[in-house]
Amino acid sequence: MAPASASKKKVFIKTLKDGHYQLIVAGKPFIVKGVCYNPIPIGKTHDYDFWNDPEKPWLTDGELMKKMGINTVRFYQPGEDVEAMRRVIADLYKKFGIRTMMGHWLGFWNYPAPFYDDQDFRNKVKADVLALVEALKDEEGILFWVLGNENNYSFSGKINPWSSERIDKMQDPRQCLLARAETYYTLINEIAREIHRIDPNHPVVMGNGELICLDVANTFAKDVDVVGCIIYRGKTFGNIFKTLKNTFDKPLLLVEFGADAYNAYEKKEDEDMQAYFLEYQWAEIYRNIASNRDGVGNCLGGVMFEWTDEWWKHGEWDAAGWLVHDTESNWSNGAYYFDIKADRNMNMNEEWFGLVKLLPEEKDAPPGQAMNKRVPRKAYYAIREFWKHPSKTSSIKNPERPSPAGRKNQR
Amino acid sequence: MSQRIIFLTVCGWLCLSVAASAQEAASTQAAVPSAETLKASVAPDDPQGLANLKSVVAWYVGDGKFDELVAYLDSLLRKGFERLPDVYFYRAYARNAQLDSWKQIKNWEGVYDKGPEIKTAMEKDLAQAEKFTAGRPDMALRIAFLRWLIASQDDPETAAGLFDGLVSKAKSVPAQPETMALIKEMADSLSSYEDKNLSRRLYEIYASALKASGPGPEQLKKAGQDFVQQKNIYLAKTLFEGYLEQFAGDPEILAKETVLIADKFAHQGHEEALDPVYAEGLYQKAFDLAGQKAFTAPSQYSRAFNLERMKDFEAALKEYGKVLSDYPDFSAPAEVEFRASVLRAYAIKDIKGASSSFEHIKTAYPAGRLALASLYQLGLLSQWEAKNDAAKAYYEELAASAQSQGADMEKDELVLLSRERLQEIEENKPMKYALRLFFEGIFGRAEDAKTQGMSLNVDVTGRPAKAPVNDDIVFTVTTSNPVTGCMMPAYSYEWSGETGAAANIPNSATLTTSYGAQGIKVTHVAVVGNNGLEGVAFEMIQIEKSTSA
Repeated sequence: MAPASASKKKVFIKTLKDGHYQLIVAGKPFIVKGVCYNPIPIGKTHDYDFWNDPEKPWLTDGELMKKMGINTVRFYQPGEDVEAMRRVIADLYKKFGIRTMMGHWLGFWNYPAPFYDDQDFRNKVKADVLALVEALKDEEGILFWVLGNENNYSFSGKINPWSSERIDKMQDPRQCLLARAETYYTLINEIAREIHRIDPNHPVVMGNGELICLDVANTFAKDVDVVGCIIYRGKTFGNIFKTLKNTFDKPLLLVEFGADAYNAYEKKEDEDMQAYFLEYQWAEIYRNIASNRDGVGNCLGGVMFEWTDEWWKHGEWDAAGWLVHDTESNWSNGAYYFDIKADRNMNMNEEWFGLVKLLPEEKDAPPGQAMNKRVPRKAYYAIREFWKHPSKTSSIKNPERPSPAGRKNQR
Repeated sequence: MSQRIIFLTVCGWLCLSVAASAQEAASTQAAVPSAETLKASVAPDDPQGLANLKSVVAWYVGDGKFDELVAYLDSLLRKGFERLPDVYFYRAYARNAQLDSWKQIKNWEGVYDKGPEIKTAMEKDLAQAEKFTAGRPDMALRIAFLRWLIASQDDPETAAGLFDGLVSKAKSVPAQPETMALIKEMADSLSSYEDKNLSRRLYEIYASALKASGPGPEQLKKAGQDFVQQKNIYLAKTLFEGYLEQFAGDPEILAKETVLIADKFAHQGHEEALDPVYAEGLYQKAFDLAGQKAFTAPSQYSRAFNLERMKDFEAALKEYGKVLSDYPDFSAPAEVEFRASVLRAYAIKDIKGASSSFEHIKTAYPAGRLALASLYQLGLLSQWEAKNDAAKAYYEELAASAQSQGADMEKDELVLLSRERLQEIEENKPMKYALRLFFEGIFGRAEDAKTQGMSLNVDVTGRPAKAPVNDDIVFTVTTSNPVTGCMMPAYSYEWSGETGAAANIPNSATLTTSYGAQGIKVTHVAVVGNNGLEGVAFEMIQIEKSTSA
């Protein structure tokens, strides 16, 4: 039997008598109330070194997050400075009780394309991840390891395409897709097994775009502990809980979901719209957590996308654009129906997903104030209230309502 | 924006007429009563006194002085107004306006931290107001609406019940013009905020009252037409349907009148249709009632054109066929034949049938622009089928015909395009890349499995569909996106066909251009992704004589 202190440290998933899955952290049931955390300041881009930022934005953010009720942050990719990462993880946990989901892209954004069918590439990715786990596994604030983020969208060859001579020989596009899926999921499985060997205390989450190809993962990635879905389905997650139960019966964590706060049709910020979608999404997450008889019982919680707006995303190659809060949409999703009538149905604004918006700092601001100001949006308060009083219907605000201060149709 | 303007905006319909009258008064300098004067003239038993109270409320709300307004209303309660529902109602209204003002300025802490307490106070006031609504149906309705409005923000289930209550109240109030106007005002408010289902329920009451007031059919039709002008589609439909009811005993007349109503909602080309799907439903209903007799030639054309714009190409082709077969006197048969031929070629993929139709156009209407367009299409179809001699002959015939029609041989787009094609044939080259992709996408390449299984549904829509020469036309491509989350696949958009005067054809999903010559322009697009050709689409735009010419 493990010593009590060791079991207290262990994060694990308990299967309840009714088949529901429950996350246990420090010996208690834990619902992940998370947020994706990538607070790139205005004027910086993805190479910004968050971990070593002298302004320590995680302290300001951690306090705000704690007030909201957030208990988990998700980092997409580790930094290079292990000590700096340890400091951030410890600060977030010790000062604010916020745990960390540490992610790894698995080389997905490498240039050239990720060669998942190449043994050397696989070895390198595996070694990177295991070194990360080895370095951080004893940090008290660590909750999960998250492998990949929507890497499965590349299987069709439409997004960030990768291949190999072996796969190219297959003429049939479907066969190519399945071969890529098998190739990738076997790598995931190898890494998951190794992580379990060196760190039995923290579950491994696989970051998968939607439920795509999870039937293949069911065969080749059996050793992951949790399916982490990145999912944008608007007001409802639809059949995701049941479908996962029936295709790849693992606990589900929605590792990235949410709504933007910019109405691409009305061409203006729309905090009501964002809060509306998020409240419905959280209501559905709560309906499907363990012990709720109305749901499937396989959901461990959710991680909203995201904490702050990110001004660099649109036209990332243009440094001048990092200082502009762009309003041009770069993807389309009909499930976010309020602004789907935008030009070419392009309604999703990647730079406007923050629960808090950023304001540029004052010129010549003294140290400690040289950080973008954080202004919580409506969703921050709405979800704070939801978490205080979670129920299936309460607190859901309808932005369609004809409030005198509402969103009058400009058409 | 000044605080005052902000809060006048905030004021909303509940008090809109009041704010308007206050503003109106303010604009006529001489007659402006001050808030203090108005306050002195507030009286509980006198209509003018109540109107003055409304104006006072509007002034306070307009200035964002919610707490002061509540204090003023409190003072009225101490002065013998305690049985006047308006006072309690306005107190709740003021608090709601305060909450809304906080939302407007994004004072979310106020909304979420103080909101529950404010809502409790509002509910108390509304309950109190309700006690004194005997003989005041307007106030009963306003209370019901505000109560629903408050609940709709937090509690959809309760709100649904409250809205049912509001509808019941609206149905039971005497159908006087003032109350009906109030009901319509509420419906308009809901409609403008896109809450269509709720607004419909109130419009139904308004429309029923309007119909019950005994207007003649022509009055109903005119009222429907007025609502069309106001873009109040639902109410227009309801009144037109009321108008049609009178013909229930005569299916043939009913069918004909139904078609005339459908025409108002269908695509006509110069601007966006009001409701093309509804229009097609009416056309079908009319056809079921009386068959083809229900349709005049223009209406039959409208039906076909409406279907074409809805991208129901197969049905459109069938209906265009009826224009040609059943209405020999239709004023623009060449246009119909051309549209049908293009649909036959690129929607039905019947090269033989399309070629035969294009041949007929060039023979039957040799002097028109559509003869040239048909020759170009014939050339293209022949070139695609590797019948280069035939294609060459068509392109050369096009040039000769264009010259005989007096076309500008150095600028005419069809002439220039046919020269490009001729050059390809002479140099034994394949069609231009974008054009070839379009044809491969439509007709497929036997040796290439990829074009057999293109994964995207692609549509291209040009707006407006009918325009004068040299007016801007904007083509927009929409695609059925594969599920890829926030990572949009990178597509390249290859435009071909008649792309007009645009000097540089962009590689993007939108093309803005114009055309210098009349005719029906056929424009194509092919969407190319990492895996090759993903989908193709085509569009027809009609260019007419300039209205200023």
